[in-house]
Amino acid sequence: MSWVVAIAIGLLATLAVWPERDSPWRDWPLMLSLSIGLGLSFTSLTYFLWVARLRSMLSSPHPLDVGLTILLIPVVAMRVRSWKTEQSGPDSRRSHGTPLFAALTMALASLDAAAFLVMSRRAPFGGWDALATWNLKARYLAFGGADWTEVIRCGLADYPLLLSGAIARIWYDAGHASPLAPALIGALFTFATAGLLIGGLRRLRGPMAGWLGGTLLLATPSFLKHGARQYADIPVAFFILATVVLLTVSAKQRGENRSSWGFIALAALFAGFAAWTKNEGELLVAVLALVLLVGSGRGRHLSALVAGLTPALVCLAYFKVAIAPANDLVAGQDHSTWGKLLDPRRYAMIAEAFAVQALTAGEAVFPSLALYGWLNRCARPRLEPWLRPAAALLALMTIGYFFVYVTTPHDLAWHLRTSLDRLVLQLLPGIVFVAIAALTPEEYPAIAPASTESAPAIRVPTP
Amino acid sequence: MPTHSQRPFDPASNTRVSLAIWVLLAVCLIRTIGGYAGNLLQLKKELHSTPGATHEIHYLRGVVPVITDPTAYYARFVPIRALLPPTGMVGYVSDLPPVRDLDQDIYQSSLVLAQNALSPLKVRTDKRCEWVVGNFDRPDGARSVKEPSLELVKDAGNGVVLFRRKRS
Repeated sequence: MSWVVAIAIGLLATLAVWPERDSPWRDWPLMLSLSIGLGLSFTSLTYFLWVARLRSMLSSPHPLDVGLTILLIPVVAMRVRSWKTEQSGPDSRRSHGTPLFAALTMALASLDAAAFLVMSRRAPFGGWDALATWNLKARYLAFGGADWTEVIRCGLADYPLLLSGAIARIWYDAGHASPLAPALIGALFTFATAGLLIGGLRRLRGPMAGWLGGTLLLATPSFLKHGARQYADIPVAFFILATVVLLTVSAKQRGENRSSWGFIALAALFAGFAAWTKNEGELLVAVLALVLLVGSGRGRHLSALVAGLTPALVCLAYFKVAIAPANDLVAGQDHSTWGKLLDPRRYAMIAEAFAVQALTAGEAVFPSLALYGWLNRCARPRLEPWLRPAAALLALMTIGYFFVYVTTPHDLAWHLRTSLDRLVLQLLPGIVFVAIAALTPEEYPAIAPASTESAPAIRVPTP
Repeated sequence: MPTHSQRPFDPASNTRVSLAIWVLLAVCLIRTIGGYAGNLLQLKKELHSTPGATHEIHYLRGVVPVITDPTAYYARFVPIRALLPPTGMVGYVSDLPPVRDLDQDIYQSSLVLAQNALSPLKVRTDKRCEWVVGNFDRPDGARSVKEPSLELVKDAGNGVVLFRRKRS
């Protein structure tokens, strides 16, 4: 049951930083999805702290959770009062097609859940990366005692420990390495990503856009498959999407002169968690800092950035400096890097691989979006000011990934073949979020032509 | 007077939007069926394959593109696990040759599975430890170990053998 406690702590933490006078109950899909990711990540972090530094002082990691809960409850209690005084009715944005789309999304989610169960039963300890890296590291964190540093001899040696810590936490409480734990963590992150996409689009563009985005992601079996294989790319995809959604919500809040500190702090917290999951997350942290510095540059926003990044980056710094070996991509750089940067054949090869992914990734999700945008020309793509930071973040991430390949010390063809599809999956939910938000008017019309007569008066984007 | 952004939605635009949504829905349906059909084909292949230790690793590493359950592989180590200390370090030997191609390296893969099965013991490719675990592809693989200082403690009969360093 330790995962239930983790989610409860996540819920408290989400509510504690949720801005005043902005009721979280209306955005329950967004709040619940964020709570799942936040709770699993926070308790993974406290478990790592206990294993690495506090085991001699505390007999178990549970006092850390109790302390965290005691700290959070008064803050949440104060916030609840401000939400009670808020004068806002239920979300009035509705269209005639919303119930139908909600039902379709739920049907798809049920099909995916069944498929997830079948795949988890076939491979209870996940795919190869899960076996060789994440679950093996979790075994040493849970049962290794003083030998926990053996994690640096498992698979991707220098990779951080959020996913392994979350699994180890459950194994430690259970007393044995049950295959249910990694499968459960995989399922929670996979379906929380869909929930986050639905919740984020629902808040910003209305319920129809939310269901539309959710349907698109849930109709991507390769995303589900990687979740069932217990790969860390799915938690990273969740954290990138959370950063993108919260950055967008905070930008919209700023545009309406409302408080955005809490949302920026949460966005930074999730970016930090991405860095504590896989090395790709370090790029997300750098890009988020750049986007906030260039886009806002206000001291208050920078304080939110620092506050949000601190918990995960402190652990990451300790792990990287004191425990982990050097990263292969960094240690492999030498004088030949300049030659690689000036080699046009490498650029052509990487561009070709990216183009193939753009056409095929996630069962052709990007061409599906392009077709939707082309048919839906009345809702001209509008990158509204509040959507621009998220679009910039995703564009910079893509450019960053491109240059990692340009400078890789490994055989380029092998590196592209074995990793690019998973890097694209990391960005996929974020790209779906920005695309649906840009292509969909805020309040959607009825989806059946016959019902257009009774369609309510709605706003259309300003030409 | 209503502003431009608040005017009623244009029915012609509405039809187009409806069409876009229905087309997107159809595409989602096709993508879902296509994606899961691929999985079912893989499952069919898996059901018609012959199981075996090395074969399992081939599956797990994606050489044969299906995933499966390593529990049976872990079970091979059960007969020797009780004879080993709960924590500490053990050596590891195998008759599988290391392969340069990372995707096909069955030696490395079998070592990783042994680490999983024996954790939290630290498994090292070092014969100087007091305890040395042999993980062989052939049932008589233990004969390939030509180390006079190691004595056989237990042969599990499935390719897994436990050696102990002789006390001098």
